[in-house]
Amino acid sequence: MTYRDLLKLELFPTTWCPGCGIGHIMIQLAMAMEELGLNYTNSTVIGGIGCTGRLSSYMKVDGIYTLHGRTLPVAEAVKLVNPDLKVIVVSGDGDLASIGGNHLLHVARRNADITVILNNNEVYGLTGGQAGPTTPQGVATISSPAGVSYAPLNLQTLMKACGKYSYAKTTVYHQVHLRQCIKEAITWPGFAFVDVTSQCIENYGRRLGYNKAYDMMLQYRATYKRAPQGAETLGPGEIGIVRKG
Amino acid sequence: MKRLVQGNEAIFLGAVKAGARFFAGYPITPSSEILVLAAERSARDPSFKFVQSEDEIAAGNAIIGASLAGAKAFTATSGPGFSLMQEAVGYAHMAEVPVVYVDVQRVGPGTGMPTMPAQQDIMQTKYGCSGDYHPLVFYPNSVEECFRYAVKAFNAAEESLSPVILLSDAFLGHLNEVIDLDSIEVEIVPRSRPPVGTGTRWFSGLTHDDEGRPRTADAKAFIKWHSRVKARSEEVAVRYRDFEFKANPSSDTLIVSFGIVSRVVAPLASQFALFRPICIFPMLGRELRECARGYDRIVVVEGNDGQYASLVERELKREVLSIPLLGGRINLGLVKRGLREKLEREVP
Amino acid sequence: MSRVASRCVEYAHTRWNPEWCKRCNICVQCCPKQALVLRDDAIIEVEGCNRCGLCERLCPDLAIEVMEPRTKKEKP
Repeated sequence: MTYRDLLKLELFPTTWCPGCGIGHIMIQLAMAMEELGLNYTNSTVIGGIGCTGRLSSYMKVDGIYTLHGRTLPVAEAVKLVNPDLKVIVVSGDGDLASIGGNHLLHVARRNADITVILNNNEVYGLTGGQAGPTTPQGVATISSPAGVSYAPLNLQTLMKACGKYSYAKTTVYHQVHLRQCIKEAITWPGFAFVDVTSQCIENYGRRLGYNKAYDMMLQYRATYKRAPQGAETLGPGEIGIVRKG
Repeated sequence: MKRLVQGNEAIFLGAVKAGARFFAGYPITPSSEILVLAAERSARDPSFKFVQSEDEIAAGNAIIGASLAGAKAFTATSGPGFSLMQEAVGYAHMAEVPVVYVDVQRVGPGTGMPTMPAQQDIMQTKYGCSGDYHPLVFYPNSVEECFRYAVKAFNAAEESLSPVILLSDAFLGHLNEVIDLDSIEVEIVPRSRPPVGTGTRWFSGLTHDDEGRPRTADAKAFIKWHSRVKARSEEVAVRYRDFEFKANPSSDTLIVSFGIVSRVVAPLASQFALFRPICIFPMLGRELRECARGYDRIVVVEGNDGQYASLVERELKREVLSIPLLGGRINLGLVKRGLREKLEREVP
Repeated sequence: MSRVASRCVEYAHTRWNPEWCKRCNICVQCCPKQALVLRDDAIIEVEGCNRCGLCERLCPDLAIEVMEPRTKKEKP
């Protein structure tokens, strides 16, 4: 059994644009699941609307593609009904933090025992490249031509507002760290959030001046460094895990 | 054992009898008793799962997740909450998920009159969501029927693999009647489809083929899916086309009413023929046509501005008179006044 | 696996799947030996591959992999 056995290779090539970071998350998730002994008998992957949600259709487990923004109530319910299943949500920044924001607030607060992996590409890719709740201030997109005029949502702060939390920050460049964060999140007993900076070259990076997908990944390499051991808060540009059980 | 049971309580107990073990909901008058009963049950019985959701959108979606995970699941709300849940209802139709939505109606639109009974969500149960779909909708008129039709709603959901709407209203929900629940015999339809965590399927709200693969640019695939679920809905509905008809050969007028209004209208059986649909959708066109034969005038009395009347007119292809009972004011005096106006004759 | 393999192009060290590859250029750019080029809509392995596996690891589409070394008995 290798990680490839967890993928529906018969559906390849995938629907994502050339160079899209979601493929990286899918591969690392499959590797993490294989290492943890997860398969269709003991896990499910739930995706929301957007490019990222399609990931659930490529995994060889029962998957659900929910309504836009509604992965978390669905995932929480699945876990309550069947606590023996590992429930893994993979979705985008709009789906989880904009339309799904209210659910993020409360499902995290209720410490639902699920894993949530955010493909944080700072944009609404599928609909052409509109700004989202994690688009940095000042960035021009097709729905913010003069630049976003307010600060993005601070997801770490949101998670830390909960009584119990597990918040991981990583990028698709840092593949080993990404896989490690996914495994830690899956095995964490409670709500575990993995915030993955990832590239949307086609509807975002290209307009910001990046030539190719790897140029965005090199930017992640340059920008993000490991947080110091034992850090309780991740600073800007730091990857790591902070948690409170 | 005979005891006083509340309408909302009867719906809850019917759900439990049907095997429901997941409830998600948001408090909203006049349905909140169902949520509280679910919370209390869950505290006593860990196998019954309860979530007080952050909003109705979460609740409407959570029950879909619970159902896909293998549990018979339901929620209870009122008009405004039901409006918020519409997208989820449509999703359940497209993804073919058995769930039950209980709507204890109140006066609307908007926040309306939270404590006053109405029947203004009739159209919403059939047309509230985007897209074409063919729902099964029930509306009981007594506490005992609340119990029976809660069970039937779950059965119909399992058979049709679709969301079934159980209507009630602020009056019926809070009506207390003496019944012996233990003596009511019901059939339970079991869950047939394996839950998530047993296969490699993909459940989605996108138009899909028989293998669950998205077919978002394939008209043939849509038509195939649409015809299949429509036919299945009609085939299942055959077993649920419940109604009550009291003929009256000495009358030339048939009164159509349902839910709480039908209880108020009941004493008019001596003067009029009465038709009471319990299955609101699919429309009981065949039954209405059969029963309406021999009556010159058809009058629909309802707690809204003629919603069901317009549907009856479409089925009968003849003029249908409408008596709206608005603002939560539902009493026999008003009904008689309306009949006098519309029939232009005395109604003792 | 043989179905997958028959679609692929085998080079000296790498195996490339033209059907899954989206020509995104990640492998070309990340190769520390510059042993891969994108030419005429194809990924081609040129001189210098040291089998480090970065291309295989960083391809988001599983479209390129480093092959197992051939034994003496196999055809070159």
